[in-house]
Order: sequence, then C-alpha cells, then structure tokens
Amino acid sequence: MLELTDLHARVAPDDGPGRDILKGVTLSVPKGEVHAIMGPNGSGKSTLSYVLTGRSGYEVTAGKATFEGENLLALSPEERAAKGLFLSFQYPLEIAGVPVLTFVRTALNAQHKARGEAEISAPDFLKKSREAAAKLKIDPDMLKRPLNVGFSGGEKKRLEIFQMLMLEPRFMILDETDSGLDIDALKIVAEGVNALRSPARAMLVITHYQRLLDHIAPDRVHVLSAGRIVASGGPELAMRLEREGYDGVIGEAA
Amino acid sequence: MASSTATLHPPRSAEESALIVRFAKLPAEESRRSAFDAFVKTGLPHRRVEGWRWSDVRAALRGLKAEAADAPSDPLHVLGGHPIFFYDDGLPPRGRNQEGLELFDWPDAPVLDGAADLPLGALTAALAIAPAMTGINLFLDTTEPLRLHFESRHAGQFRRLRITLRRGVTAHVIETHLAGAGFSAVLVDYQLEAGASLHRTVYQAGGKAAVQTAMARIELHQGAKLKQTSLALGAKLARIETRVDHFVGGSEAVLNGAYLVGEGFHADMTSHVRHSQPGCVTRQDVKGAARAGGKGVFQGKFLVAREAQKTDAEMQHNALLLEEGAEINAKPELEIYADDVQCAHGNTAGALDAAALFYMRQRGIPEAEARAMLTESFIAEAFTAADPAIADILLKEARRWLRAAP
Repeated sequence: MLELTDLHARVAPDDGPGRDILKGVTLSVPKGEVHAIMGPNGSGKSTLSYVLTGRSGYEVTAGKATFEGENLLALSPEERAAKGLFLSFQYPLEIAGVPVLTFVRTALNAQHKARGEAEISAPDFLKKSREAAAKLKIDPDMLKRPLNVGFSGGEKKRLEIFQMLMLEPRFMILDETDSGLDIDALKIVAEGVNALRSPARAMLVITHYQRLLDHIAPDRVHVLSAGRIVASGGPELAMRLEREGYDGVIGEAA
Repeated sequence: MASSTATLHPPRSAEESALIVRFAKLPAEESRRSAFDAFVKTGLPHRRVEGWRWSDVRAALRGLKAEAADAPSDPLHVLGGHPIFFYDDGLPPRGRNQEGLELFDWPDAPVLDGAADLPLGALTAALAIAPAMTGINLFLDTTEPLRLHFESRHAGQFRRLRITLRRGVTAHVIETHLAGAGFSAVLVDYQLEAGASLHRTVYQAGGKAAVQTAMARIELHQGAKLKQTSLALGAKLARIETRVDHFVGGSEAVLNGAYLVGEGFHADMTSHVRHSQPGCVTRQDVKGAARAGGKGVFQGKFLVAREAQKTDAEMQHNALLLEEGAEINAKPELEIYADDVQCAHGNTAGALDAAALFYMRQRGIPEAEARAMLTESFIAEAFTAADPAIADILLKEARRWLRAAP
C-alpha cells in the first residue's frame, strides 16, 4: 500500500541552513498490516511523518514514495488526506475559534468532495460523532469548544483519534501518540485505533517506547537510526529494544 | 497671522478650492464660519500632518473620479429598528420622532470646540448640509436600535450630529457609512450622561472612488458605559476615528473593531481615549487583515491625565498580512501622567500560522478554505463584545469578504 524506496529528505527552513535527515529509507507497508517505526530521538521519525504528509519545509532530495502505486510526493497535503492518509500529530495544533465538530465536518466534507462523494447529512454526522466520542470517553461538550484550545496533552491526543474515527482514513501514521497519555487513556486510545484495523487499511506507528505496542500489536517493527532503517523484524524486535536499548541493537546493526 | 481664507498653508489644492467654493454657498452661521476658519488654517490633512501620516486625504482626493456609483448595500438593515437616512442630495435627514427619541434640526449649532485637532471635523462643521447640525435626544431605554444610515452615490456629504443619552438611558446606535463615490465626512458628538449605556456599532463600506471619514467624539459622564464594535471594509480611503473622554470618573469603554482591506482599498482605524478622571476602564481589541495591494492603518492612543488614578486600560491590535504586498501600519501609544494605573498594549502584524495551516490541510481542508477559516476565527474575536445579532451579521460580512476571490 505504501512503498518507500531509498527516500532521502532534508529539512529546509525558510530562515536557516538545510539539514539532511532521511538518508535512504526503504520500506513497504502492505494493506492490512501495522508497522512500527522505533528509534532514538533525532533519528528522523517525525521528519518521515511530515515528508509522507507533505509539510512544507521538508524537501525530498532523492528516492520515491508511492501510495497504492501513485506518486505521493507530487500531491498537496489535502490531496494526500483525500487519498486516505492521516497523521496523528505528536503535538496537535490549537485552532482558535473553530469548534471541534465544525472543524471535523469541514474536513470530512472536503475529503468527500475531493473524492467525488456526496456530503454527509447533518443527522448522520451527529450520530457518528456521538458514537466516536462515546468510544473514546470524550465529553460531548468538549466537541463544541475550539479545537485543542486549552486542552490537556492527553485530551489533544484523544481528539486526534476522534478525528481519525470520524475521517476513517485508509492509512494512518501515529506520531508518538502515547506521549502525554496515562495508562487508562492509553488503553482507550489504543482501542480506538484498533477499531480501525482492517484488511483494507494499514498503519505506521511511530514511537520511542515499546509501551504503545503492548496495546497496538504490530506486524513488523523497524528501527530507524540516523535516517536509515537499520533493523527490521517481528514484534519480538520491540521487546529486544526494550531489554537492550537502542545502543545495543543499533550497535550490532552498524 | 490673519485667519482669512487667503492664508491657506501649504498652497491650496484644487480640491481645497472646490471646498471653499462650496462653503461660500452655504448659510453663514457662526458655527460654520468659526469651523471654516479652523479648517483653513490646516487645510486637508496630508501625510506630513500628525495623525495622518498613513492616510493622506489630500492625495486621495486628487483625481477622485466625479462619476456617480452605487453605494455598497447595508447588511444591518435587516435589524429594522428606528432608521434615519442621510443621502448626498442635500436634503435634511429622513426620519421621525418616536417615544423617548427626539430628532431635531439645530441651525444655531454650538461652535465646534477642539477644531484644531480635528481638521476633517472642522470641515464637516463648516460644510454640513441643511441643517448645520442634527440633534437627537434619547430619553428612554430603546430595545430597537437607532440606525443612522449615511449613503453617498456622487458628490458625498458632510453631516454633523449630536446625540445625547440622558441619565441612565441604555441605547443601541448603529452607524452605517456607505459610499460609492465622492468625499463624505460625518462627525457625531455623543454625550453619555451619568449611568447611561451606549452600544455603538459602526459599519463602513465604500468604493474605489470614495473617500470617507466617520468621526465620533464620545463624552462619558459618571459611571457611563460605552461598548463599540466597528467593521471597516475600506474605500479609496476610509477612516473610522473615535475620540473618547472619560470625563467624570468611573466610566467604562470597550472599543473593538476589525478592518479588512483588499487590492486598492484603504481602511484606517484611529482612536484617542482620554482618561481625565479616576477609576475608568478601557478595553480595546482591534483586528485587521490585508490582501495584496490593501492598506490597513491602526492608530490608538490612551492618554491618562495626572488626576486619573486607578485607570485600567488595555489596548490590543493584531493584524494579518494575508499575501505578499499587503500593507499594515500601526501606531499604538500610551501617554501616562498618573502613577497608580494599569495600562498595557500589544501590537502584532504577521502571516497566518504555517503549522496550523498544515494541520488543517492534513485533515483534507483545501488551503484557501483553511486560510479563510483561520482568518475568520481571528477576526471574529473583535466582535465578541457586540450583541449576538450584530456580531452574526458582521461576521457574515467578514466571511463574505474572506471567501470572495481576491
């Protein structure tokens, strides 16, 4: 479903020198699978998520990224979203003055329009949002407040998963979704994520710790270090990382 | 120095000469003559005059097309209320008395005080068309808004009004300043007696062949309350100027507003708040947004006199430069002579938050829509103090402006 071939990318801020971050990432995530990307701080995990979703300031210098055979890199962020790509942000943004439900309905209808589908009706939308909120134990009043404004770190993460349930993306990237969550919230969030697992969907779970993977079981685990995938394996690789630390595993690979 | 019409400095422009001719045709009441003398000393304000650096009226009037053009429509008319119409046909205002509201001509209008600080106010008092002044007294609380509708389609108009809110009266006044063409200036002196409360809404929309100024001087007596919300969409040059005096003490003023300017439009929000006596509160929150080729101006001054201890005043101006080539000029100023006061101001001008834009686009919202949503929520903060029905209309206008093709 998602194919990365020798992907090189650099951070190119408007107001500073560029820096090479990804130095040849090759990765294949087939439909129906959940892959985890683990790696120490600064290994390029977040850069990978931004490159895949098309954030400006990140420049691909070599390699390919395709989504269902289509060149992902030629598409705008909103086109990628309409194709079904969703990023759960490590630090979700505050959108002042735009209530959660208004935001989500605008996004959902924009995606529908881009795909040539009909708008969702107001009753259907409300029903769907009530169900999603109940699943994530989100107070419905929260959905009337401006998105993420004054929300705690945990609430913001829960709202990311709420948006995911509402938008029903086909490919999900979870960037450090466990940070800021206590163990109860983590369980709720993981249940929400697992509800979207299906043979037609795939997922890339980016995390520093193994903890999240206890709740969202991956099919494959990849270790990213200094912009390259240095080790890949089954779920047991995550356990080994937890035991031996990144130094042990990366040291062996190098 | 003689104060005759012959000593205009610098040499008078063709537009100034035309104004002098216009004055000569009007009845020679004392209030007009003294105001005209004051105007002649300064002439039309231009960029080298303090307070007019970014809004050069003399230059804007040069080459102003003389042809007629329809004025923009009035989105606030749906509120009904009690309308009084002012058109540029030289006729008296069209409106009527009602219970608690007295509307009257004031041919022997008082001489304009402070004319030297208000060059266009002086011009307005000199050229006000029949009558020299319109008086409105409000005796009773009104549930319906008083709507002052100023509309110009060709030459423009000069109107001078005085509105008095009697002791304890609560009133809603909506001023709509619409001009398709011409040079218009309106000066309204508001007097709020003790305990009176004024909700004032100012809406300005003009064409590229119109120069407009809406001036108000608002005097607040003991415990009076002013809540003002403005929306300016600009014109060739448009200025909303509000001068407030906390005159007796214990009064409160909210001066919020927004300006939105596109290519070829200029909107200026200027305010001067004088805290003359102790224990007064002022809150100001002005938002602006400019597209390429649009020019926005904010000038805000809080003056706190030596006697005005315990003044609590806060000024915020935040503007968005929506595109390359947009222009925002801002001058926030505090001038404080008392020592036990709380005064603060903040001023920013910048682009939309790129991270928030990306976040919205990642969710599938197209860039143009994301920009409009972010700008709209930014502007909406300027309307939060207004009555919900008015805030809704102003926000709808802002939305229409934001969604219109640039």
